[in-house]
Amino acid sequence: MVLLLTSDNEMFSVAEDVIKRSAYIKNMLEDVGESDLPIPLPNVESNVLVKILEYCEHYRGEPLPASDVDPAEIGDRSLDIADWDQKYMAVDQEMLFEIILAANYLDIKSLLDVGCKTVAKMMKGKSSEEIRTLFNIANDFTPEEEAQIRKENAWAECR
Amino acid sequence: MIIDLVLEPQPQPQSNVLANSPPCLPAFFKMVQEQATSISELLYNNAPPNNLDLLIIQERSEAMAMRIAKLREELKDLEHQLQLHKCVFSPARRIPTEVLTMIFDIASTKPPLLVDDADDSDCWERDRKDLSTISLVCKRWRDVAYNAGQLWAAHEAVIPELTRKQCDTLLRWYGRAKGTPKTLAFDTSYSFKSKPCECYKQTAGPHLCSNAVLRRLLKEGAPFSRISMGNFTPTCFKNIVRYIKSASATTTTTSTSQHWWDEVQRLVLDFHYGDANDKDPYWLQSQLPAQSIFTSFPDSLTSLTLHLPNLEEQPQRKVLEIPATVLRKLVTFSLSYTGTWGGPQFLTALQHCTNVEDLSLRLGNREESGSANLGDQINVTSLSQDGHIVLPKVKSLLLKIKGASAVVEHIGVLRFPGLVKLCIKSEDDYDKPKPYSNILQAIGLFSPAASQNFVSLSVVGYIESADLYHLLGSLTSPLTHLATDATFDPQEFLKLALGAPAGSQNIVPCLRALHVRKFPVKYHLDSLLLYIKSRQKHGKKKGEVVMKAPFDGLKWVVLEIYGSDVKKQLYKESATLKILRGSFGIKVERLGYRPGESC
Repeated sequence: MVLLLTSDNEMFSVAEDVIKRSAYIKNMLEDVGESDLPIPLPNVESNVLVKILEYCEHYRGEPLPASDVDPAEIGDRSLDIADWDQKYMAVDQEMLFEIILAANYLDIKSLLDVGCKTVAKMMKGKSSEEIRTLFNIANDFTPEEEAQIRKENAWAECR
Repeated sequence: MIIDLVLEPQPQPQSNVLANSPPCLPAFFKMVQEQATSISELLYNNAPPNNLDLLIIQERSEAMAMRIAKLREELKDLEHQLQLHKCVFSPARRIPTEVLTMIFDIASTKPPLLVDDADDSDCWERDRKDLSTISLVCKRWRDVAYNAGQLWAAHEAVIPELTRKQCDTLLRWYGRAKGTPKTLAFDTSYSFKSKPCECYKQTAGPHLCSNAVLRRLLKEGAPFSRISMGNFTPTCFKNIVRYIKSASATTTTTSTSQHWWDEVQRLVLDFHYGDANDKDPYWLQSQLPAQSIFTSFPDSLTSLTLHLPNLEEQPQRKVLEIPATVLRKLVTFSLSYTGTWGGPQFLTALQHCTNVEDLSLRLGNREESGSANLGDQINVTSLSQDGHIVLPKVKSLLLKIKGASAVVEHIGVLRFPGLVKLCIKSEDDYDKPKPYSNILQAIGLFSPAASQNFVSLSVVGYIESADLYHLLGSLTSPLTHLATDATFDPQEFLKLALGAPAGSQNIVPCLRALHVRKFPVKYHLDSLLLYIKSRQKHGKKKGEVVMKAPFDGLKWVVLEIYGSDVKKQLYKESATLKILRGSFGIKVERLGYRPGESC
């Protein structure tokens, strides 16, 4: 078992084969060897780690992304997301981005891919204004700057 | 009551009457206001207002409208300010640049037009509109996007439609690619509006290589490391290469001053379409080896895709005079012919592909073509002792097949001792099953000497249950991944599996992942699920399902569901599906499944 200490000081005891989906933890375990000391995760809160562990548990036993023929990569080029992953990612935006950040920090490539795909899918077909509203992003362009970008990318407006 | 309150004289704004009146008038106006009929009285008695009342009502209305407009303006401004304050806490702001780049990368990738092409590697395109939209969201997104070279490094252009302004935009985008190797995919237009290129006439007509916009793109956008030319003729190709080499002599990319053309690593040449190819003298006349278009291939070429035209009726054709020196350097090679003519000429070329790791062949049916002289042009010198052309480094093989019998004859000469992944794609109609097992047998995959690295098989097209069962049962390598179209009858397949002698091992015993695609409207999914269930020995203990040794490795099933009719049945959470997911711990995933969609 591996001990993980979250940023809000919660301790988790996790099976090694579950958490090894995180390349960060996997490398750390390989470097440090067996230890009773918990691995501090200063960038991950306990509620997010619970979600991350749910993902790792679901994919327990599946080949790690290093494999040439990882089934998780089937349909990787499209925005297709398997139904379990879709349900897993059906969380509020705050949690969605927290999962992405944690996946990036813990180096869980497949989860990061699914997170990025989920966000990309949310953006698809939307105008820049709609994307701003969706993600609560401020338009900090002056009208002149906006016009300049439109000019620079003029041809792009028609598909 | 409310109306009267609203109409109480407001301290501001000042009315137009006041603004335009001499300074002594406010007192007068106040007096006039006092003499005016109250609004409640006016509304009550229904009498038309007198002129004074009219004037006052008009003034007050205008003042109120102005105030409302001002308040609205203030409200809008407040909302905007509130929004800006809220944006500070937006979780999207916390996404680091490298992850944002990944999101942009996925969001701007253009899906292939045909679902069948999704597996092909020539997916170079970006969605221009998506890139523009992303750049317009906010300054940070623009900066992240503009600094992500890979988003701007690959573009397509249709010649001769590409205008000067569009070329300006393309060159600007290529400028953002920075150090990322650039890709240019240009295509002659396939529309009826445009005239086909007449390069082959040499002396007259609109030569593509003389197209000013293309010349500018090739000169100012260079260097490119991947070039794709669609719907071209060999003469066009020669002319373009000649132009590239002459026009940008100053564009050097290395310290050795090698011309950028010779640093091109990937080339896609599509000679498929258009009348021009039929008329191009290159195909019609015998060529000296030095005149071959393949002699002008770049020195650094490691990836080549060739789509050759259908030249069935041209007995003098010489289509595959690729120098062995070029072929030996290739790591990726894709070769296809249009029409039914497959021809064995590819064997002449393949014998030199000793470094190819990723091979794709599209083979036509010799019998259907009616050609008499096929085989005459084979010039294979590098056969192994047992008479095979051995391609030792091929790990991934894609066979696109039309017809069957000649394919087996041609392909049977080849051996792939390091094969890891095979995809067989039928290009025949779905009304005729393809004997896939014959093809696998022909390339030695049923032999004990077959590659033990061969773990992944993908079957695209109409395969019968018996053929699939036979094929899987005859493989001698530890296949772990199988993808197939749902063209086989799952009930029949289940029957074959259940009919196996008691105690016999599962077919493909190492199978871990199964991917089933293209479900027909009527498909007995439960039979497929029952087959999966049948692979694992199990029983019941105290009402609970328990697994028994030997334990089956199949733990991953992907069902690719498209088409609304199919969804209705495949969205159903059957009892078998629940058992597989629950008691057997098998992950059954559905691609294309939308949880909220009504059935």
